Amino acid sequence: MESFRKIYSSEFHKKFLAHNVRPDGRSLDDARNTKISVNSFGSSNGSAFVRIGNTHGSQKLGGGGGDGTSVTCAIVAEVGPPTDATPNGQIIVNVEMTPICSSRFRTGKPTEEAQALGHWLNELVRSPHHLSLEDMKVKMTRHEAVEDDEEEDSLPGMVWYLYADVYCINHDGSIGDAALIALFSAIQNVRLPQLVVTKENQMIAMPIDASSGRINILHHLVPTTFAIIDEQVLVDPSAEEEELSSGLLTIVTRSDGSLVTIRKSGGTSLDDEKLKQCMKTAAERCKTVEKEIKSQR
Amino acid sequence: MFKISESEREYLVGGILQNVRNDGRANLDFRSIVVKTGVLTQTHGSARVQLANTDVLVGIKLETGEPEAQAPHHGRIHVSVECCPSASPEFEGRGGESLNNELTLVIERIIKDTSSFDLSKFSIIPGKLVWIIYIDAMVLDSGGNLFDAISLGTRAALHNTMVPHVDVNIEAEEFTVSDDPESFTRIDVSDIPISVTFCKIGSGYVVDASIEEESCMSVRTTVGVNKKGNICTLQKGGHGSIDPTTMYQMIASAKKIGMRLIEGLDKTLHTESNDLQSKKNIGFFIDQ
Amino acid sequence: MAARRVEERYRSNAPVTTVRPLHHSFLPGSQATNLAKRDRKRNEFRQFFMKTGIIGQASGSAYLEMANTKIICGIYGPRQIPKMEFSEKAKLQCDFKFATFAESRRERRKYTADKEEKEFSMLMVQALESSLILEKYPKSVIDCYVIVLENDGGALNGAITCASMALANAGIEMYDLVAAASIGLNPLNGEILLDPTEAEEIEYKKGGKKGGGVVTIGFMPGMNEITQIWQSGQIPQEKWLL
Repeated sequence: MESFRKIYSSEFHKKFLAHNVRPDGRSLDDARNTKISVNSFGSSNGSAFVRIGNTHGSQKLGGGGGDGTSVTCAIVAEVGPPTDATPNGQIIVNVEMTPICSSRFRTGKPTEEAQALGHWLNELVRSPHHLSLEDMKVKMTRHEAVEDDEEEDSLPGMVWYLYADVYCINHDGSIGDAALIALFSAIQNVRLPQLVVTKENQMIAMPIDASSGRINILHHLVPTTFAIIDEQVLVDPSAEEEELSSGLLTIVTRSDGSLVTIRKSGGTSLDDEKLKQCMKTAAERCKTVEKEIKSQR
Repeated sequence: MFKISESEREYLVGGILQNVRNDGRANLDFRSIVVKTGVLTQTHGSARVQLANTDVLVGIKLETGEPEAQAPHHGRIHVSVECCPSASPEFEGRGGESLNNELTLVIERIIKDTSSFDLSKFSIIPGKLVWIIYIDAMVLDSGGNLFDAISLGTRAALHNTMVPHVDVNIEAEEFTVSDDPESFTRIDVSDIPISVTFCKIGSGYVVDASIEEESCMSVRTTVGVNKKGNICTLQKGGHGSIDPTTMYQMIASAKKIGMRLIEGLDKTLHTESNDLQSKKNIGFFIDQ
Repeated sequence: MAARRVEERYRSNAPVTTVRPLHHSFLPGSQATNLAKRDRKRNEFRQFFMKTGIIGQASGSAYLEMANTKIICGIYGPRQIPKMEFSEKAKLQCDFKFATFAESRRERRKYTADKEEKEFSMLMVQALESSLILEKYPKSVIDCYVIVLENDGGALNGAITCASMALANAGIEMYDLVAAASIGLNPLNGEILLDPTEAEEIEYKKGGKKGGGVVTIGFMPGMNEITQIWQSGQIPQEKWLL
């Protein structure tokens, strides 16, 4: 059975798809469960771990996939002067598809897949419609109280630059979904510390307390990926299904139900009817996932 | 990679069991060491160490620069070890890169330890300006035991280093580095450790292995020892494993050997620095 | 500098140079409080959590948590790689990497391996190789990838233990599991402590009158053999013979 699956992957899946069911027991429009846990990494300013599928963490021996996608995203806040283009600072996203997550990747320079995904996430996160960076001014004070008021003023106005690094831990399809969910969950939980400046001009971050800043998220973005295999459309494909598909479609919707962006790869066409169906599925999934993200605040 | 034949290997391993090595040494004997300081005129301090075929050159260069944010009152150290690809084919390509990296980090760990080297003396304007010490070691030829040769060379070169006098105007935050060759201070090297490297060959172990011996070792242990006999760094190399009792024995003998080596080195350095005024070397490749 | 530029070419960067503010333990005069914080006995480990088989794509994997230290390891192989020289036994390749956000007390790690990470990769190979029966897998490579997601002390020993579990999970034949642990010597009172945290490691390595340092040992308990030993800082020889 397992060897049939490995060698005749396409036939194996087609036998299932003919009956509108997938090898892992899901129907075609059934997305896997999403589980989010936040602030797992105390060394960062905000972090999230997202698992899509196999949310019970059950073990599978021998490897070979079907185990659920897991992605972690952590944000480190650094300080820098504002520029004309970034008067309120910026979020900088990078995606690391490390060789740990799939045998397809090797160490060295990031794959095109990782670079493209990183670029896409950067675009979404820098759009002023979803996030507000207004509150990102750095709050700084002197360590030892200085009598001179002039001295106090000499502290330069700085803004936060947030480095968000998305690490892919297990690549089992729909990696973009997991990455975007992890990114927004992490941003939601970022706490920006107060800074004090010592005599030697060291900047020291104070422990997080009630006064620490947060980032204002206007709208949560929830993506849903579809795989097109022959004439059929599969929601939330696994790595195997992605491999077999002739095209991938990612729809990002917003919490108020509006459409944010559509990304489609592969040369196959998709008719109106199916696209509408996909958008409906995406909007439905958006509600469940958004509830999960917000519960993790 | 340097390789020896199976029978040669057996002969060597058998000898070590009898406490006799190919070149007539006992297992815990060093080869004779030649140390010369002040061999490079363009550096602030330099030394050349020869251990039979092993030939290592260490140069120290000082520059002024900003301190690291985590340590505003301390000078900075950069270590870099490079093995000349012309010295041995194993220094070429990636193999050489990982060896360079390993050597660099061992030396860095020995030097950077605060209790051995007081970096706070290298601060010029606290929080603003410090000395950056560049330690560059070059392996010209390899006859085994690079670790110990480089660590001896580093200690000798630091001893030889002349730190120029700096005039500081704190108010204006200005400074001038004196270019008078007579006005300088020396670095206190008395607490800087050296390393003693053991190779486990068969069931015995030897110190200061030659290149033949290194090619059949299973474990290499580098132990850093300072003047007081404290163990300052410890690193295992090679792909074998070692039982705890042998490990303890190695550490105990490292202490004895290390302290003796430092004593000898200090004596040599002392006479060298006394001779320095009277003798001028031209062309470091010419031995006296 | 050149290396930095190559790495930047493939990644997004801020338009200006930025600095990470220092951790609050760097506030002047906090060394004593940093050391006094220990809330467990000197010979007590932090709480462990271990789990194998968490990466479905890999042939073997393990996750290890020691309080805040979180390490994940995936094994791929034994597999063949093209253009490899013939060899009678398998080659173990380790790749140790800190996540960029793994440490709170220093600047962000780079995306590509730095000197320390390269060294740890090498130390891991040395620690694990003698535990494996590599002769069973000729002409192949076993790849061992480790990511330290958060480092709160004991990254190297955690990585060795975690990788050994993952290798067992991958079904690679071995003589014994390698368990690694670290100890620290407190510079203020000369006490030896088990399993130091990151804050303790930093203070111990700074050293003092009574030495101070950290030792990591990899050990095969069944064989009674040390596979890796690594020390940073200064420890008097008498302490070694305890």
